[in-house]
Amino acid sequence: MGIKRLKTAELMVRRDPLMELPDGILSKIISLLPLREAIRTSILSKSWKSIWTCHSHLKFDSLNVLGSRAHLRPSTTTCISKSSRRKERRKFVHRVDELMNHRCKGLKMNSLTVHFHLGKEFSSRIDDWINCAVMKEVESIDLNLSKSCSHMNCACSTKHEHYRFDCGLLAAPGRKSNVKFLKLDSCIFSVPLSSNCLNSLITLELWRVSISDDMLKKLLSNCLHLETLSLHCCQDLVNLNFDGSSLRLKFLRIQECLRLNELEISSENVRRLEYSGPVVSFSFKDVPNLVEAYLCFTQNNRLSGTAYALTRLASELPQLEKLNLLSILSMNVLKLPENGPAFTNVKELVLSIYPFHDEDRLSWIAYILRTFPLLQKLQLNLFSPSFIKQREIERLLPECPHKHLNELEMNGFYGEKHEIELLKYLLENSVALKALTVSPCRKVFRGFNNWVYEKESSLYLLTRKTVYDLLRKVKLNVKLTLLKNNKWRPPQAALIPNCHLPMRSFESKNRTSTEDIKSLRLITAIKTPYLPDGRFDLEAYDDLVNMQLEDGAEGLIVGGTTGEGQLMSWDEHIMLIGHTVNCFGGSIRVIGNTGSNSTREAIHATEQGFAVGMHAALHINPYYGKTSIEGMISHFDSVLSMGPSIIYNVPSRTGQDIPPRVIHTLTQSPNLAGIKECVGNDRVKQYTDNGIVVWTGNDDQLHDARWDYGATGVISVTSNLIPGLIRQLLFEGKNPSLNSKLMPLIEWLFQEPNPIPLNTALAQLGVIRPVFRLPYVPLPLAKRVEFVKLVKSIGRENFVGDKDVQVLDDDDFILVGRY
Amino acid sequence: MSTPSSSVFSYRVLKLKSSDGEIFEVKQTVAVQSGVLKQMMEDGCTEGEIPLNNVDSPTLAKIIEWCNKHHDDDVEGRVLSQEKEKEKEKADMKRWESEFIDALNRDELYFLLIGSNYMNIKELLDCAAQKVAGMVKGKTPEAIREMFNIQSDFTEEEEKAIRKENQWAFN
Repeated sequence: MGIKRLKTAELMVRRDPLMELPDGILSKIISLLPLREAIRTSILSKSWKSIWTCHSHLKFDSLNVLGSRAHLRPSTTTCISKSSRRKERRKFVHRVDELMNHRCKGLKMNSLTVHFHLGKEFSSRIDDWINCAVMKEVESIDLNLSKSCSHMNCACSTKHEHYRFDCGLLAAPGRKSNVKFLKLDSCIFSVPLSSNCLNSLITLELWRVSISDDMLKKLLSNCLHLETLSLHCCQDLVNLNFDGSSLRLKFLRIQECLRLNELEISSENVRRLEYSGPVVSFSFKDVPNLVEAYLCFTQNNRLSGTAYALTRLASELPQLEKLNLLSILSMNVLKLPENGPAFTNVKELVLSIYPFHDEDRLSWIAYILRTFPLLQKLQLNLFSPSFIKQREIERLLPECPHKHLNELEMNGFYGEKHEIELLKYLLENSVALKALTVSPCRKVFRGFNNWVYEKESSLYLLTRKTVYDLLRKVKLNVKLTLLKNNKWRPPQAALIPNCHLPMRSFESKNRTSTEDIKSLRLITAIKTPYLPDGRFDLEAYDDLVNMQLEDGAEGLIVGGTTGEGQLMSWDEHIMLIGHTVNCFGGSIRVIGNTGSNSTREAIHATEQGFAVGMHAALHINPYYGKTSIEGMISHFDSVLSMGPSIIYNVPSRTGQDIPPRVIHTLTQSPNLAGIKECVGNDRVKQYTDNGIVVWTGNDDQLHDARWDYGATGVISVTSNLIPGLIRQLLFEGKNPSLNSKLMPLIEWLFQEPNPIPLNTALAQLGVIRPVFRLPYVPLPLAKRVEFVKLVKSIGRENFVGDKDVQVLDDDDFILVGRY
Repeated sequence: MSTPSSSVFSYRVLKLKSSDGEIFEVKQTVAVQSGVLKQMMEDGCTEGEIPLNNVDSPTLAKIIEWCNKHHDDDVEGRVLSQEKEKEKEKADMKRWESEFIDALNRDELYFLLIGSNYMNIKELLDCAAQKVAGMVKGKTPEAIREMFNIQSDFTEEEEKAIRKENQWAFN
């Protein structure tokens, strides 16, 4: 209530309601700003003057305190003199002093971060800051006093003594410590004899910290709640020993401690070990929970280290479930035994190989399939060097069927020959594989489950094609994910490819090249005639095709809309294609309309169509139910592989236009012969300008499309009636007068949905029986009379058949519903 | 109240009364997100209507919407087979949160901050505070004053003195 009144009372100067928030909330908001910006709010007004002092994340670095970005510049240009460096340091310390003095008056502090190149000479100041933070119950302290985080980064830097960090600072006298996270870089660590100041620590990271073996042991014995320990470049460590049942340690990371000789772990809580550095002698005792390991051996003896990780480790850590190994040497030089001990519990293996040479004989992959019998997930991060020699290497790998491997991920896959062979081998041997992920980007491990993808690779398309080709050869049915870049992609990128084997025949009779199809000009969408009971009238059909042959049609669409393919069962449909190929395949190109709005049906019919010998397929986009652009591409992708194909765009029937970019994407397939386009001549030109073959689907536009817009020809309905004249329009140069003479006939043919008028016309010409499969019915009498007049004006001799054209009576027509 | 079933019912649902007298019913499992209500439940004093004198009904409706959403989509609680799914769910939640917050005008945001602070709903408070911080971030003091219509009550000398004190922050 009080709030509301306050709001309405200030009508004169309406301050923003947000500025009326209580200080507690305001300081919370201010805490979310960078320190520098928070301090700026002190001059907003008197009430704002000290709100910032409640800022709970204090970060002091060169940029924040000195406002200088100098340290980001290359070191050569910032070789500042010794004295000015000293000056900068003093300035930094002075300012932090002032800020901490202010801050001391504020509320609880969450984190204190100091990133600056400071040494022993400022010990008392740093101690004071930590003291102040601890008084404010700070939870996280991050001291990075190394050279790298100061702008005085240059070669001539003098050695100075490191700051000595005293653990006793972490707890104020007589109070218990709140510090949970402690990270120290470039300090000397000193531990008091007995202390409870480390009790609260959960995470401890030491970078370039001078700490001896004994000191670390003492430290750990005091850290009763420590769960995560990271040691980086701590060069005083020689023999490390983690034992004791009181140790809560779960995650242990040791990086580049170069003098380390022995590493002994016997603590039942340790769950994950990450080690990178020189080979040391490992000793694991009583580590029942150690199930995850990351290993990378870096120095001279890395060969023996990598070999160790793949052999003896199996018997030393039999409980291991997840192994992540980075080999920085070619796997080729590894000498792996014939029968190594098996990793009986490892379900996930991540293997990064740098470099992966093209001369690699891949024998290691067979070894891995053998020694990891229960592996379920395999991730290979490859780093093929750019100097590929492309030498022919014969690789004889033993068959190693693996029954459990069901997820395979391959990163850094460029499509080089040795990479393809590796993938092929894995696909052939992973009988249970369910999911495959392939990416051309390299994937790099950054520690603690942190992975980084390198930036998007331009090789994506190449990879995609290679992988698809490979999947087609190998019999697998897996879910394939192709990653383009580092972002996780929504499901549109994950598509199920047509990785089944098409039924294919390599008999020469059955092979038609796409170029063959591209050269066709006059393609007739042939009508399917019926017997009075609704079955196909093959006799009449053969006559129709013969007439087309005589008058110069070069191709036939079998079972198109005109051929009433939509009214056929698939076996009728395939039979008709087979019949046409069988009887006329030598003299005319047979294009089966095996498209469907169901990808499954389209795949099935196309496969069968090519199997019975059709020369090309006509594919419609998924009509009626429709789909997205990506869906369309995937649909066509699934059938294009089977043989020469023509894509059919007729938005008036399908309800969805195929936009040009879909076609442009599909032109990557060598099997795309061209497109049957019904949208109009502007669209035709758009394609022909880009060298894409187009047949117009509009008979009224065929003359202009052919002569003015670059179309190759026409897929025609009218040519069922007057094939000779249509051929004349296509082959004998521009002929506007003939074109306009035919226009009334074409208009008559499309007054009702095709093929209603065509059926009526062919019946009246006496070339087919007057039988209609429903839902098609003949045109009314008046229109039928009109047709006879049209025939007379164009000339009966130009039409198919030789019987007199007649006006049929209503009773003459047979309409069949149950066909 | 007399029948056992109704007492079971009243045990599982809290009745929250907003400052303008409207009653909202909230499941206990949802209400635990509020530190204040959680404490009351632990102390066993949630019988009858719980008056929230600092929260009006539109704000309380918003707060309950938030809590319901975060209860239903308790990311931690459910076992998701794939890390990716988890990530996605988190991302979806992030999007929902930002849409939820972005749809508020300044008055609503103000009352939401007050309300969530009063009811001690940490996540909501953080989210709303982040929104305001985002409005301020990267702006000069002058721009902030203009944006929130703040009149400086410093004299010129005073302002100069403060600027000098923390000079580095103003360069």
